[in-house]
This record gives sequence, structure tokens and C-alpha cells, in this order.
Amino acid sequence: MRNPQTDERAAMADDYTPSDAPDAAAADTAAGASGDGMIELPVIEAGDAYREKPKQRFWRSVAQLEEDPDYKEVTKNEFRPGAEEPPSGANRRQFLQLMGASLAMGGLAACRRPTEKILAYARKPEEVIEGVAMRYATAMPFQGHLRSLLVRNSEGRPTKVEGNAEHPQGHGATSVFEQASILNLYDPDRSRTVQQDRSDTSWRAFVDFAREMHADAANRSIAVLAEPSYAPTTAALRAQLEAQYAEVQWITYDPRGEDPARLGMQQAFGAPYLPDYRFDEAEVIVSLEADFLGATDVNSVMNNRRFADGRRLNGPEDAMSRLYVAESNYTITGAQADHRERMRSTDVRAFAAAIAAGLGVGDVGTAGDRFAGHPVVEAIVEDLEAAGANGVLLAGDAQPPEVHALCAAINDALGAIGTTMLLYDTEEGTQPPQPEPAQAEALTALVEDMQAGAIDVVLMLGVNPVYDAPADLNFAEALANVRRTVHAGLHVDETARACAWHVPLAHYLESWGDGRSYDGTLSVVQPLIAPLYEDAHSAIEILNAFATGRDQSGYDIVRAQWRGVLSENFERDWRRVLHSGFQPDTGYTTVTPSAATITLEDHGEADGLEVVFRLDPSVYDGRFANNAWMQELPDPTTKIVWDNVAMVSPGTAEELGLEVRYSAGNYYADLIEVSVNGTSVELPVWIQPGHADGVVTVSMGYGRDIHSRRSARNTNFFDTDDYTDIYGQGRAIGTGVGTSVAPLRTTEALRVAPNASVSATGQTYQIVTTMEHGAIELESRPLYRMGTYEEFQANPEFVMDVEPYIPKGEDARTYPELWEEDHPKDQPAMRNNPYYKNQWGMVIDLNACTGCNACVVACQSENNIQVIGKQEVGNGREMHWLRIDRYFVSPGVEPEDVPEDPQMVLQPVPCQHCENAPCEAVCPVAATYHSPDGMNQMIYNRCIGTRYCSNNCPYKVRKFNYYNWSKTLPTTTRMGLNPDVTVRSRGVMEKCSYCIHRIRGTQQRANIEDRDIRDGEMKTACQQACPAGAITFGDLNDTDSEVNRWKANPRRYEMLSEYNLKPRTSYLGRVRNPNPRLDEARRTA
Amino acid sequence: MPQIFPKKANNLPVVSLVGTMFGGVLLILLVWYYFSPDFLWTGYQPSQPVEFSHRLHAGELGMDCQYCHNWVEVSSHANVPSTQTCMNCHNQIQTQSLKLLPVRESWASGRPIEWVKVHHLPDYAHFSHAGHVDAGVGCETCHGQISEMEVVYQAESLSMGWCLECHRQPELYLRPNEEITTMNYVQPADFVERNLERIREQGIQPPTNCSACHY
Repeated sequence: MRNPQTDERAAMADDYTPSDAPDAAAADTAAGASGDGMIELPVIEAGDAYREKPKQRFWRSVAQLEEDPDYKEVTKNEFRPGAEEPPSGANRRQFLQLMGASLAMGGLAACRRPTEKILAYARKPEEVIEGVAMRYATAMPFQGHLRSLLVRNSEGRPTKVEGNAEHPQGHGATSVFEQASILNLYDPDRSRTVQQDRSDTSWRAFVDFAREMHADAANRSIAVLAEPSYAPTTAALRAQLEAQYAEVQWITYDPRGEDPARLGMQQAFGAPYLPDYRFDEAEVIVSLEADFLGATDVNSVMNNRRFADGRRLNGPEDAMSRLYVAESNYTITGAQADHRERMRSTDVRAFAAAIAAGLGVGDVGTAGDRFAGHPVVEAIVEDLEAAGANGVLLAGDAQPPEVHALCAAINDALGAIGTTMLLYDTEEGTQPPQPEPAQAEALTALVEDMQAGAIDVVLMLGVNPVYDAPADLNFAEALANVRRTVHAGLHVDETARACAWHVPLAHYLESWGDGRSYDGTLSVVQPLIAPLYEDAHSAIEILNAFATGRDQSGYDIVRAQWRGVLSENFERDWRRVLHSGFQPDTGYTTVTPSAATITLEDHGEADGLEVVFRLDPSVYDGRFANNAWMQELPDPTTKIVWDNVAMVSPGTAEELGLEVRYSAGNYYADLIEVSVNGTSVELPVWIQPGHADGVVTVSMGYGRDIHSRRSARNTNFFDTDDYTDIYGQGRAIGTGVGTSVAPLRTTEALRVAPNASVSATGQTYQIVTTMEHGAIELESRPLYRMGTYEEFQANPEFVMDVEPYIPKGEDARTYPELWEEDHPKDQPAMRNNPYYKNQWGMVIDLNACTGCNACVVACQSENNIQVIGKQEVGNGREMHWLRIDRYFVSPGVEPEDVPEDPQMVLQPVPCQHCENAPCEAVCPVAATYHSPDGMNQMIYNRCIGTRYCSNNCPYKVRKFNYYNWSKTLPTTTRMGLNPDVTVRSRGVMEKCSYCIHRIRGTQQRANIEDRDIRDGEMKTACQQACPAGAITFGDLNDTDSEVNRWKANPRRYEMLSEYNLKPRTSYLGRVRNPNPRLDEARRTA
Repeated sequence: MPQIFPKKANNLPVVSLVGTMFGGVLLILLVWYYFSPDFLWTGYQPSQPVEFSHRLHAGELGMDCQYCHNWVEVSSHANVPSTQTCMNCHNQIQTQSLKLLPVRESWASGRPIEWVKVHHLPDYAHFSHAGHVDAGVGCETCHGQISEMEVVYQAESLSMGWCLECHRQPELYLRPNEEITTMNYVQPADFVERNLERIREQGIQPPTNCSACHY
């Protein structure tokens, strides 16, 4: 391996003399004093440190690019403006006076030790061991399919969600929604009692009502709006309902609308097959606005994994796929693209048609003429023809079904069906066999019936149509005409308020159920805790009450259903299913049909603005709006927290005269009115580089109105608890955050609304984004290193080209050496330590990481990291131990080089666990120190809060508890805290600990069992959650470990290696695979 | 002019200075000791909801510690037994005793008995019983003569310094694993050599670095 230090040193030794130093005065001193035995140190200018001028420029925001003086002022400092301000309400003088007065009385109060109680079980379940966590396999329903999980249960409470590694789909990884779902269980604003006409009643009363309906079922008409589901139990209950009631309208309600992919498959193949993509088999992937890597995608975990598998490069001999993306908004899939074309959502259709015409597929006529001869289209056609069965096209949610059908037809023409595109036949054996009307038609028919008073009972199970049904239906109004309306949901939300009955829904972690994962494998959903509230029941229990008139538990219902699924030896098989989380060999059959000829009409080019509605990558459709973790999670591409915005491109913003002002570290966006067909909503605008012109992208799921029973916390002016308590605002967390865009959506325009207009209101709104937090890339430090596939093949160690040079520095890539002999790690006490034989390290593969945020929420869940609220995030105090930095890339470093379509890259930055950690050297109380196993650890009880360590950390990964955020947590939220991790109080610094509690637990177990730790036995939370498998962690002393294999990768580098910090976390540089023929024609970074 | 102060008043500055210094040192020493875990925590003997006597059960009756605190070899907690464990015997023995009324009530209602925790380490110090028991630390080494306690009190300070005494010299405190639960265990004369042998064989290295317990 090349050592850039020694090479350069040898080269420079001859021609470097002190008199060459730019700073002549210093040189003279040095030269003059040399005779006295003083050490002569060469003077280094910042510019000298970099061997090659960087070829690219990485920038976080336009303010940075334009060298906004405010930006420079703000990022020069350690802390953001406002970070050191006390909360309003108390000035220092008052505070000190009062503190002085109460000191005398406060001193003696804590002398008596508070009594702690031990509550042992009365009847302990046989398998429970107090202090040892248990894990149960269950599954989370997501868009109708189950995501198989293994959930950790600490003393009867679920505390962490992990993926089920044994399940054929998943590799033990999860997306951001599974991780956050646990906080939904413990939501303090969950509804707790059955309500009738807004007053509390009981579950018994509801069952009586259901029984009454069932008794007269032959004369009743019932409408059910339920979430999409492939669960056999739900299907069976539906069949029972249809057998009993005179008329049953069952509407599968998905807030986005009908799934265009399945409708497309229907068009192409005659049956609504479920498409699954094998990106690991693909050489060429063309995404037509399909955000298949984003968390909102139906199969995002497997997509991430397969896509990353297709691009893992251990050496120049490995091949990697090529991704073309055409989209309107900048998504993380677009960030991974080797070629990205931004265009209107309505133009993607023409783009697809042009590709089809180039390949000779389908009957597209003139639909694609706009893009005929387009270089990217031609490149795609060429690549697809070369790839054949290893090519794949897919279209996204916002595209109409015919585009999906066209993609399927193209895939069929390529021969990709069965290789890169799998089709599952879901209808086989499922009920009901007859085709169902599309959701939009069904809803319209239902509304008409409701208006006419023809429906007796309307059941809404886990859906919120008053909030997100198409606005032109006037669902709320129609609902008012029905006498008996039932809403079952986690919260008393918009729909609950409009209904006669509200039943608290049991969360999936507290209910029995079943379903199928995306590939069809049957699973049972088993609860990890009894429902937190007595009245909470699951959807199947409620359905059962109406279908049979009986109050049966979900357990009995599911078991009864599964008697037909499992063999004769039911109990044994049932236990096996519960143990492993799935029933093997129950996947859908894969089919390989031929596609019909798809006709695509020419819709012409749209003009004017169009509004694209997307599911939010944080709050989804609103079900995570009350989830504090998700509200505070920075959006993957805009890094905005706690709000939703209307995203436009810089070009559109200029055209419309919209601005986002940057002032003292905060953004103030123009508040605009977005109008579609006469209805308008007010949203703050956001200018996103790389966004398509003429499109406004808005997120669903905000502007909720959730009822909360909790009152506002009001404390004395010197008690800062009320200021920092996000749970104590007197309203639900999600209420009033952001703006709902549901009024703009109509049945004709559920995903894309054409002919929109935007006008400025003249007001501004503060938007808090974390995109500049942790801005450490001053003077073009090579933090994110990337190259093209050709560069990589020619020079596998291309990341070393920009490696900075340090005179007399040592090779940063050898472990575990240190630069001083009396470093603590070389002391006998450390060397003789049993921990010394493990040296932990981590590698993050930037080719695999898509920036989906799953690791951030997993870390938050595992380590009891607190949520601090919008204002505090604005002050730069967000507590996430792992942040994902977003950079845009310009091909050159001059200001003119800024493109309209910049590349976006995302880099996770946790604590790097430097061997020569600058934070350790400056802590006055040794609260942060180097453990014998090579990590930098925090000892919370020693910390006195000087924050010098954070000051000295060049990566800015240390987080300080400015307030006592954990003290003010509601009781139910505390239930979700991880008991193995210390909960930090005010005044204490914290940071990524490489999940040391997991390491110590594993070491203890290995010690007791008298063995070494096996590679892969313990995983950090981020490593375990990552859907793409981008993070690996392990023992560097174990020569066979995976982490050592990754460290040997030629793409490996460390961030800020020029400071001789020797971080234990390495990165593998990003390699893009642009089409060599396109490089000249298209701008690439 | 009349002398207000007698001549011996000249001593006052010196005396008060010396007195203050001594007083200060005395105050520091007193605070040091009386605010230390050795004083504050040792001897803590809270009253429990049920008058359970270890002297009767573990001492007179000779019940093994691990009959009730059964997960001590497996878990970080040495669990306080469930009411079911009590009822193993007490559904037949002393079924009418008033002292056992809270136990029977707990068994009938399913509500736990609210024991008061005696040996409490702060939350930022993570301690695991399993590792210690496996290495050969006896129950009475840390918990004292439980079999003679009518009401359990904390016999040792359980301060970090106290823990380090053993962690730095484990050979002085270990015992064979068969004797872990023995009360009033008398070490054989050559116990230090035996322990050193065991430490060598099994590679027992009690950690003294911070992140072993504080993380």
C-alpha cells in the first residue's frame, strides 16, 4: 500500500529549507535559533497540506456557495448563534439572585438517599430472566406487506426493533419506519378509551353495539375502510362479513391512492402481479421517478440491500451496476444515480416513451418525440440493449399506470422478467377472487351512498379519511350523514372527531395478527406487550365483533385461521412459526408472463406549475406525525426538521420571485400560497438545487390535529423544564406542525396536480435545517472522496490522490500503532487488560450508503437519545449521535462551475473514535478517555460540562445536554428507554460509543462461556439497522473479521487524516459509474 | 492610655489562625468520612413490606442463596424472587401467619410485593452478578453475613474504591465456585496461592479501566 507521507517526504526533503517558508519572520527566528538546539519545524501553509488541488467542490447550501458573510461568521464558531443563550424568561441576574437565596435550603435536601423499590413478579413467566433481554419475532405491516422483525423485550417492554435476520427478505435490517414505530407504541397522546359521541365509554359497550349490528346483519349495509393487507385472517374475516351482511363495501384505503404499479401490471399482463426487482442482478437500472431506495418505497429494505450488493467494489475487478434516474424532486435514489435527469413529473412519461421507441417496444406513437435524440435516452437504449436480461426499468408512484405497464413491457422485451424483475402472483388462493373496483371509484361510490343515507355502519380501521381523502369527495360531510360511524385509530384524530364511535387501536407490537411479507412468506404478528390500554383492540378483533357478534381475542382468531395453514401437528408448528417469525416456503409463486403491447398517448408538454404530492420520508402519511423522533429527523435530502415545505428549483424560485433568506444561521423562507383549482394552502417555500423547474413538491402527513389529554407544563421562570419539554406544550407533538396539503388533492389529481399556481403572501417563516450543522469542510478538505468507475479501475487507490500531506506524519493506515511511547494504550495496565485483545473498528461504505436515515433512528432508539424541539435544533443542539451530512458537488472549484443539476452525496458521520483523540487530551476531569479496546469512551458521571472536548473535536460529533430533556419525558415514553444505556442528565456530554453496552454485554457472555467473541456476534445499532449493509464493525485484531476485509479495500480512507488523529472509523470512497460516452455531453461531477 | 486588651491577647491572631486551619482540616476530614459511602451507605437497613428473615430461612433452615436468587449466574441482577417462589413452601407452611399476609395477597391479586432496594448502585455504574459469580466471588464477600441478618442491611460500602480493592487484588477475595453461597466461609491457609493458580489458569482479569463499568 502506498504511503503518501514517505513518498512526499522523500521528494521534499531535498528542496525544502526554512528560507523557502512564506513567513520569513518565523523562518528567521527558526533559522536564527537553530544553533541553540531548538527544534526546527517547517512552516506549513494551509494550502501546502494538499497534494493536489481538489478537483471538485463540495458544498452544503447555497449560502455556503455564495460565501454569504453570515454563513462564514456562523460556521467559523464552534457553536451556532443562540447556542449559548439561556431561554427567555430569566436573565442571568435574576437567576443568580434566586439561586443564591435558595442555596442555603437546597443544600440539605438531598442527604437522604431516595428509596428505590424492587418489584419482583408475583407469578413470573417461566422463560423470563430478570436482567436478560428477550427477543421475539414479529412483523410490522407496511403498505399491506409485513416487514419481519425481531424485537427486543426488556422485562416485559419492547425497547428496540431489529430486523429478523432469518427471514428470507431482510438480512436483519430495517427501514427508518420500523425503528421509529416503537415510539408510536409509547406515544403519550395515544387514545386510551373507547369513546361514543366524544365521551368515554367502555369496550363492552362497543361490543354490545357490534352485536346489535350483527344480530340484524341480514338487513344492514356496512362499509369498511381498511388499510391494504394481504393477511389471510383479514381476508377470512372479510369473507365472513360478506356472508353475514346484506351489503358489504370493503374499500382498501391507501392515502396515496391506488397503487399504479399493480394497475400497470394489470394492463401489461392481465393480472395485478406484484413486481419485485433484483437490483443485484442488474447491470443497468433505469428509474423513472421511482424512489426505490427511499424509505417510503414498499420494499425499500430489500431494494437497498440488493442495490448495494450490485455496487460493492472490493477491487477494480469487481463490476458495478449503472443507475439512470429521471425525476422531478431530488430523492436519495437520485443521489445514487450515475446519471440523473431532472424533469417534470408529467414529462417522465414522454421520456419513457422515447426509451420505448428507441427499443422498439410498445405503441408509443409521438408520445416520446420531445426526447427523441436526447443523449441520455440514446445512452439508456444502448445500455439496455447491451444488458438484455440484466437491465431493468421501473416507474415510480407518481407515474400513471400506463407508464408502469410500458416499463413492464420493456422489461419483457429485454428478457428481464424472471431475472431482474420478478412477478409474484398474489391472487392465487387469496380471497376474494373477483376483481375489485379501483379505490377512487369505490370511494366515490361510498360517498354517494353515504350522502344518500344508504349505509348503516361505516367502519374505518386504522385509516384517516377525514384528513387525507381526496378533497373533492367531501368525505367529512358525507360521513355526517351516517348514523353509525366507527373509527379505530391510535389517536383521537381528525376522523375520530367526526365519528360516533372511536375505538383505540392496538399497535402492532401489542396485538396478534398475520400477513405476508413482500415475497409472500406468511408470518404471524405476535405482541410483545399486552395492550397498554385496556380498551385498545386490534383491527381483526373489531372486525370479528361485527362479523360474528363475539368478543374474541386476536390470539384465538389468528390461531383459528392458522389451523388451516399449518399441518396436523398444529401446536408444534405454531410454536415454530412464532419462534422464527415466518412460515417457510409460503412465498408467492413467481410467474413469467409476456407483456401485451402498451399504447401510450401523447399528452403533450405541460406548461404552468404542477404540484407533486409525496409521502414524507419522516412522517410517512401522517401516522408518524406524533412521533418526536421522526419530526426531529432531518429529511434525507433537505435536512429540514419539524416542518414541511414546498420545494421548488432555483430557476422556478427566481421566476416567481421567491426567496429563502439566510440570516444569522437561520433560514427564513417566504410563505407562499399554493393553489390548485381554487383551493390553496400556505406553505413555506424551499429552494432545492437539482429540483425540476415548473414543479412544486409537497409532503403529505403534516398539519395534523391530534387530540391530547396532556396539559401544558408551566414552571417558575428560573426552572427551565417547561422551555425544553417538547411533550409539555399543551398539545400533541404533531398538532399544528407543518401544513396539511390534503385540500389540494382531488380524485383526478392524487399524486400530481397540474395547473397549479403559486403566489407569495409577503410573510416569512423560519425553517430549521441541519444542513449546515457540523460544517467542517473548510478550505476544501477531502471529507467525501469519490471517483468514477474508470478512474477506479485505472487507479484503485484514487482516494489517496487527495490525501493531505503531513511532514513527519506517520502512515495513517496502520493499526494499532500510536505516535508516543507512553500513550495510555501502551501502559502495562492497558496491555494486561482482558479487553486489550479486542480492538474495535468500523468501516462505512459510501457506495452502499444512501442516506436513508435508518441508522440515525436506530441509534436514537438504542441509546436513549432525546428530542429537543425545533428551536433548539435551530440553535445547533440536536442530539443525534450520528448525523448524515449532505453535500452537493460541483465539478470544479470556481464559482462558475456550479451546475444546475448538482450531484448530491450523503455521508454518515458518527464519532470516529480517534486513536489520538483530541477530545481526550483536553478534558480537565478525564471524563472521556481511551479504553483498552481502542475506543474513545465517555464516563458520564465524571463530566462537569466544560465542553472543551466538543470544542476540540474536529468532526463536531459530540453532543451536549444543555437541558434536562430526559427528566421531562412522559411515563409511557420512559417505558421505551433502553435499560442497558445510561440516561444522561443536564450538563453531560455524550457521543457515539460504538454501542459499548452491547460490546460489554457480549464480552461478559464470552468470558463466562470461556471463549472469544465471534466475528459478527455483536453489531452496533447502526450496523444492524442499515438496509444497505453499508456499515461494518468488528475486531481489528481478528484477522478473519469482516471489518479487516473492508479495511483492506483500496477505496479506504479516513476523514481529516491530516491531523494525525488515526480514527478507527474508515470510509470507502464512492465510485460512480457514469456512461463513458455521456461524460462529455452531460455535466458530471 | 489604658490597655483594653491584656497582654495574652497577643496570642489571639496566632491561635485563631491555627484554630481555623485545624478546624478546616477537621471539617474536611469529617465531611470526607461522613459523606462517604463508607458511612452513608454502610448499615443502610430499610424496613421491608414483609418481615422476611434471612436469619431464619438462610441461616436456621439452611436454604441456599440460589434457591430464591436463582439467576445470579446468568443475569446482571441477582433477582429478588417472585411471590411464586415464596408460595412454593408457604402454600403449605404457616398458611395462616399474619406476617405472610402481604405475600398471600400478592399471590392472590397478582400485584408485586414492593421490596425496598438495599444494595443500590447508581445507574451509571453497570454491574453484572453473572461475571462475578462465575469468577468465584462469594455472596458474603459483598453482602456480608446475610444468614445472620434478621432484616437485611448493607454490610459493605459498595463504593468504587471498595470495588477496586478487590479488582486490583482478586486473589485475596476469590473462593472456589462450590463455596460461593457458603456463609461464614473460612479460607484455607493457602488460599492466596490457590487463587493465583486459578487466576492464571482461567485468565481472570478484573478490569480497572473506566469503561468496564461506566458506559
